[in-house]
Amino acid sequence: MMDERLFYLLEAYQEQRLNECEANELRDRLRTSAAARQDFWEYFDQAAMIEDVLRESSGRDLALLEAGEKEAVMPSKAVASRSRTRVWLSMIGASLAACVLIAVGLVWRPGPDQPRPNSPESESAAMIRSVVGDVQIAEASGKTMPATVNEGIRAGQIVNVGDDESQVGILLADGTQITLGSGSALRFSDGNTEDGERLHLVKGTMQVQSGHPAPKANMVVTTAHARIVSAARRFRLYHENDSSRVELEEGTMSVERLSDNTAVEMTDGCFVVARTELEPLTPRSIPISHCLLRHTLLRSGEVAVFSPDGSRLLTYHFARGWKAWSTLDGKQIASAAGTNQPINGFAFTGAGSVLALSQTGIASFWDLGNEPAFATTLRDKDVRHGAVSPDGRWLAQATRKSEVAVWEADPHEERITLSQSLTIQPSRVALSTTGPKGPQVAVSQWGGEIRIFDVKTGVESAAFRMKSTPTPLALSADSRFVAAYANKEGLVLFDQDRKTSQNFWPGQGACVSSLFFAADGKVLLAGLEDGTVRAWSTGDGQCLFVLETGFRRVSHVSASANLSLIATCGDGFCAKIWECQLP
Amino acid sequence: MVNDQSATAVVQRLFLQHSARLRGFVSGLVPDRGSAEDIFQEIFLTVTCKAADFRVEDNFLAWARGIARLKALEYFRKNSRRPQLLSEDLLEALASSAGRSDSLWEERRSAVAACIQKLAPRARQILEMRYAEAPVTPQEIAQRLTWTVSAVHVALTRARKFLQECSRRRLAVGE
Repeated sequence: MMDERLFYLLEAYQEQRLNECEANELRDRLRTSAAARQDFWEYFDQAAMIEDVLRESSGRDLALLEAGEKEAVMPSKAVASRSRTRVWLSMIGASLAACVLIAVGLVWRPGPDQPRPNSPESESAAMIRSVVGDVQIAEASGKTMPATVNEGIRAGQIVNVGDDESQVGILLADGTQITLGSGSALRFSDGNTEDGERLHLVKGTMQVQSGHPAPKANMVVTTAHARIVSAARRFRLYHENDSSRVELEEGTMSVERLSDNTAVEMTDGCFVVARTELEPLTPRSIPISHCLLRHTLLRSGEVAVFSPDGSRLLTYHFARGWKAWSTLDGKQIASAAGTNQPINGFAFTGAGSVLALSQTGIASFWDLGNEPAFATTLRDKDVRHGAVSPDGRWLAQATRKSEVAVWEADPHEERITLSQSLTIQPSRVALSTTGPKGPQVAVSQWGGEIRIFDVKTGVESAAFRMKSTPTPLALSADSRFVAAYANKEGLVLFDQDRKTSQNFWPGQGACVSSLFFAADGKVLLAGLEDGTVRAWSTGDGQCLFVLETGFRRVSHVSASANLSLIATCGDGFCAKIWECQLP
Repeated sequence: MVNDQSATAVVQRLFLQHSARLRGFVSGLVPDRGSAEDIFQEIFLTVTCKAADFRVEDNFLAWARGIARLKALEYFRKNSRRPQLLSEDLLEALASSAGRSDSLWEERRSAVAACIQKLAPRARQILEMRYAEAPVTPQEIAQRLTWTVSAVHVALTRARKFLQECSRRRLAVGE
C-alpha cells in the first residue's frame, strides 16, 4: 500500500507544485526504491484510468474500426470505386477519443451465450453507456431522474436528452449501440409485440450500430411517420418537423410510411424520407464522400483554419493556445500561448501573419514561430459574438449594447481601426471579403432577422428572415450567399443575387454546429451534431457528400481554398485533416 | 514483419487500444499536460511512420513505450534550461519499471470506473473538473466553487485515495 507521504509527493509532482525539498525527497525515493517506482506507475496509471473513464468520448472511430476490422486500410487515393465501408476504413487512424470504448463499451458486449457481470439487469431493456450534459430517464408515470452511466433502462421508460450538446450512449443487451443526439427522446417499449417492436423515437436523432456484423434479429424502430424494420449494421434516423429520415449506411431494412402503409426495402448507402403527406417513398443514394483521413491531430483545438495555400493548419484551444501544423506530414511547426478565453475567429492575413479575435475582445497578430507580437483590446465588455473575415482584413463584434463594431485590420502596419459602429441588436455576425459588393457583414438578430451591411459605408444592402434566431451564421466570401441554421426551420441558404432561398437540412433533426463556405462560394460545408460533415452545391442545392468524421459531434469545419483539404474539430479537441475530391 | 499495406492500420489500432496506458506513461514522465499532449501526438505520428518496423508478435506497448521514452528524453533535452524533476538516469529507471501490471489494467480500470460511481457528488464534480475532457486547474476549480486552492487539493487527494482504496477492495474480492 502506497504510504501517505509518497502519495502526497506524487500528487504534488503531477500538479507541478513540488518545492525544492519535496522534489529532492521524491527523487531520492524513486532512485533508491523499486517499490516507490512501482507506486509511481500505479499512481499515474490510476490518473490515466480516471481520465479514460470520465472523458465522455464515445469512440465512434473505434466502432468504425470494429466495423472494418477484417478489412484493410485504404492504401491509395483511389476511393471512388470502392465501397462505403472501405472509405470509412480510412478513418482507422482516427481520434484517441475512441479508446474509451475499448475499455467500456466494447469490452462489455454480452452475447446470448456469454452473459457478463455488467450486463443489464434481467428486467432492463438496455443500459446507459455514456452521458454528456443533461440526460433524464422518465417513467411512464411522468417521474424523471437524471441518467447515470451503467444504469439500466426498463421497458416503458423514455430517455430524454437535453439541448446544448447533450448526448447519451445506450447499449442494448445484444450489443447494439445507440447514440441519441441533443433534443432527442427515445421510448423503450414492452417488446411483446409480434414483430418485437421495442423502440420509438419520439423526437430528435438516433444512430445505431449493431453489435454483430450480420444482425440475427430485426430491430424495430418507430417514429410518428415511419416504422423501420432493420437488419442493418449501421443507420441514422432523424425525426424532423413533418417527416422522418433514415440513412442506411450498412445492411438492409424496410421502411414503412405510417400515413399510407407504403413500404420500401433499402440497401447500403441509401436514404429515404417519410413524410406525412403523400409523395413517392423512394430510396436515394447518400452521396459518398471521396475523403481520406490524412492526419489526426490529438487534442489540438476546437477550431481550425487553413493557410491560403493549404500547407498549414492553424488550431486554437482556449487553454493550450495556438498550434500550426504541417498538412503534409501532420507535424507541429509552431505554437503560441492562448488567452484562456474562447476564440471568436481567426484567419491568415495577406502579410502571412494570423489575425485573431478573442471572445474578450482582444485582437492580435501572430507571426508563426514567434509569440503574438501585437495585441489590442477592442470592445471588451458585453461581447456576444465576433468574427474575422477569411482574408484577415476585417473584424466584427456583436455586443449586448445594441452595437455591431466593424474594425479594419492592417496586417503590414499591425494596426486595427474602427470602421463602422452599427446600431442594431445583434445575435451573431459573419464577414465576407472580396467580390463586387465589397466586404460585407451579416448580422443575425433575435427572432430570426438577418441583415447585411456594407462594412465601409454602413449601408444595409439586404435582409432575410428566418422563423427563429439562427446559429450558426455564415457569409460567402463574395457576399452572395448567406447560410444560417435555426432549430425551427433548419439550414437555409439565401442567395442575394437571385433573391431566393433553399432549405438544405431540416430543423428538429441533427443540429448544425458549424458552417463554412468554400472560397469561391460554390460549396457550403456544415458540421453537424451527429458527427457528420455534409456538403452542398450552392448553385443547385445538391448534396455533394456526407462525411462521417468519427466524432460524436463536429464542433467546427473548415476547408482549404481549393477544397482539397477539409479540417474537422470534434471530441476531445481533436482535429482531423481530410483529403477530399469533390464529385 | 507486418504486411506494409496493413501495417499502419495495425499499429494505429493498437495505439487506440492502448492509448490510455500510453497517456499515463507519458504523463508520469512529463507532468506538464500541454507538453505531454504534444509528446503524445508525436508518438502517434512516430508509430504511424514506423509501422512497418513493428512485428505483430512483438509487444506493442513495450515498443510504443520505447518510442515514448525517447520522445520524453528529447523533450527534456530541448528544455534543459528549465528545472526538471527527473534526470535522464531517473527517467530511464522509471521507464524500465513501467508496465509491470499491464495484465491487470482492464480489471483495475473497471474497478476505478465502479468506484467513481461511489464518490460523493462534490468529490466527483471536482474530479470531473480536473480530469474530464476539458480539465481545469485547481486554481480555477477553487474560483468556480469559491473554495481555497488548498481545499481543492485536499478534496482531490481524498478522492484519489478513496478510488485507490475502493478499487483495491474490489479487486481483492474479485468484483
